[in-house]
Amino acid sequence: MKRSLVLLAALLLLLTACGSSVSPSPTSGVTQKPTPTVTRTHRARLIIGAPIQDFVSILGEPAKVLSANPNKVYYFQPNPSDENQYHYQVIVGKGKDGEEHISEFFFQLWNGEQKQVDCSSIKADHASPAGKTPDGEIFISPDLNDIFPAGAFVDTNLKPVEPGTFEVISSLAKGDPTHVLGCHVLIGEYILGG
Amino acid sequence: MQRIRMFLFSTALLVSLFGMTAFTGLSVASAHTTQPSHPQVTCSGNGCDGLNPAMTGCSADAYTVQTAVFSDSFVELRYSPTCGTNWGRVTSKVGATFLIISIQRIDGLTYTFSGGNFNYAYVAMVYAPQVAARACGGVNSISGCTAYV
Repeated sequence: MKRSLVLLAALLLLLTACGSSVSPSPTSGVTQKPTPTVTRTHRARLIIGAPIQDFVSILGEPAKVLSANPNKVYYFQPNPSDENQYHYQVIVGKGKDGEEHISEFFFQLWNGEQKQVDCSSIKADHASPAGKTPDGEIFISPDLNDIFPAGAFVDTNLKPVEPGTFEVISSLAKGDPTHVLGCHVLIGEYILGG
Repeated sequence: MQRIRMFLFSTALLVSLFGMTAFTGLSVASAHTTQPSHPQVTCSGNGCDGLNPAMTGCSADAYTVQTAVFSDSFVELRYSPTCGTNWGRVTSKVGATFLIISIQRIDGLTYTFSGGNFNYAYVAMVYAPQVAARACGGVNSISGCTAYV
């Protein structure tokens, strides 16, 4: 009986020892596999707050650039049959990083193009709805708050609004208000009459 | 005989009650279906030419059709589906200043507004549901125009 108890105790000790050898503690001298380093690759996108280089890399060189007075404007994809139409008219502002970021842009179809435009694709990431104006829909995005200084977020009357605020307004077809022809997205709020 | 009278009276009462309910139901339904879906406006057709979009009520359901962007302003071609009218709106990007805005119907009918110390301004309307129109404007002078739409 005594012998069996001793054997059992020895077996238990052996089992415990085996267990500890296969589960190294963080402080043990066992060499750990190197953890893969996560490198965030920047993916260019046509959204509010993006660096202007994103637009250039996707759309090509601008057809025209207006110097900053007070806003620098980039024009992309002109309509070959109408010099007054561009697919993209882009206004840039200085970000917290000192670089040019998209603070406002217009996308609109040329006359005769029949596609239906989806304005939700140009919103900043992590945007939450924050109300409506007569013209459009307001959102707040922490991402935009990280990109632009607080003073960049104003309404049409230059009154400050909550940092991170932006608005999306759809342009509609003249004969068919259900047909979205373009989008206007801007940081801040756009409050006008008329 | 009294039973018959009672029966007739009850039937008449039921019919009249049912009729009232039906009428009330009908009037509620018709009230719902006749609610105006368009804003109240005080002009129509060519009678809107030269009139103020806000004062006539036409701007209540208006939207932007096309925009031209400049360094210090942008110009929008506005449209009212209720009135079938276009007009132009200019917005300053440099604070309150002198603004100029015009609407041009492709057949030549044109209206222009200019004035000082505004953040935005708009011009009178042209009736143009089927014909193209464009808006031109800017700060201090006309910077450019939208396309004809």
